[in-house]
Amino acid sequence: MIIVGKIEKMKRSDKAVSETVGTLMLLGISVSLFSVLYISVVTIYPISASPSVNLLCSIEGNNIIIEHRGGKTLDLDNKFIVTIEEVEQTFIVYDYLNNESRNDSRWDVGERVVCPVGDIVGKKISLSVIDVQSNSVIMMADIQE
Amino acid sequence: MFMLKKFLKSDDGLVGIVVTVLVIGLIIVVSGIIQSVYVPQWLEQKEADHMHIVSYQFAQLKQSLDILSVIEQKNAISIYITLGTTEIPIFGTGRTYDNLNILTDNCSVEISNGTKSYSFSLGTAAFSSKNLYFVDQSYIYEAGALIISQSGASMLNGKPFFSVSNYTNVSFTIINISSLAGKKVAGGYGTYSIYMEYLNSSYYTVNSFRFINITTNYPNAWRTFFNSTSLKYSLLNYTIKDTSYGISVEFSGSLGNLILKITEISIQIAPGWIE
Repeated sequence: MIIVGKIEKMKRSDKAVSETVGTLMLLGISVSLFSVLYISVVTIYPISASPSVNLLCSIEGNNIIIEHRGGKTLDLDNKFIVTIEEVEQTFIVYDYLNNESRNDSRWDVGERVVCPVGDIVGKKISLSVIDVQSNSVIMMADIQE
Repeated sequence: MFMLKKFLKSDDGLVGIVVTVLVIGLIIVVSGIIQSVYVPQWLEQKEADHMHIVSYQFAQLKQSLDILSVIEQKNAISIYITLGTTEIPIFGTGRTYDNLNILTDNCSVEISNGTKSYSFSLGTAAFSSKNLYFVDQSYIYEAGALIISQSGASMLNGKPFFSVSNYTNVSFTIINISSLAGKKVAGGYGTYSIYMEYLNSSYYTVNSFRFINITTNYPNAWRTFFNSTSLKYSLLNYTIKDTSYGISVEFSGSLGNLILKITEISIQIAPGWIE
């Protein structure tokens, strides 16, 4: 009887309620905050770095030449954009390498992209090469003013 | 006993402990991701930057050898080549070690006119990288040409002196480098000096030359060289063939004369100099 009375008294008591509620809230905030941080960090998508490569562009007759001069080998599905007098044209590397260079499915040192672009005498030409995998521009040049 | 029971029942500092455990876990996860994803990217970029530096330094090497060959005087020039890369701070990984060698009789040039043949065995200077992440590259100086090689392919980065005059007459300059025993190899990490000293030059005239044969490990580069020289615009008819030892350029039709200059230059690459 005495014990039941004590329990009843304890139930009615509101001592330490604030501390308990505060502790639970702090725990909840801490756990949820760190869960969000943990998930954010774990799911960071590793950014594919822009490849370090030396490309050299030039003009030979009515062809635009892009030569791989060392560095990382590149995929053949990379693109290059030629702008002639403000008109943009997009090309795929694969289409303008010779058969020997296509064999290994890579654009490697010494291999040249030869892109015929018609009569370009006296025209303003700029060129950008885009690496599709890293979605980055790996070369930009004004090759004829 | 009572104190221990009291301590176990106590919830003082509970939030602090939980937060500390979470923070430590988070730090471990973050550092793990940095180590496995970002550090390799940093190191690859660092190695690529080092390759750019070596490319520039080898261009200086060719320039210096060309100058010594042109002035033909008893002079010496020193340049510096950087081998290896430093590790990145905090993580302490990524140190690489490279090699620089002077190779004897690693390349040869033979010029003949059917009756007489001139053959020259030449020394080469070769840098080879041992990168951890970036593609391994070699820079080679042979017979006056600067060649870059990677993944089994090669490309000409600087050509030797080769010109055509009067449509059929050719001038060709070859630089032969030699070294002394003990001064041929530098390997590891650091910046090493290359000491180059002019020795002598010899001239040869080959009338009605018919063949230029190059024994080399880099036939692609030499093929590019012969395809891009003024030979294209001369009156000489020629074909370039791959051979088991390199390439062969055969001339036909009206033949010209070739003036060949061979410049001998001594190189020392290890620390200290032998007089």
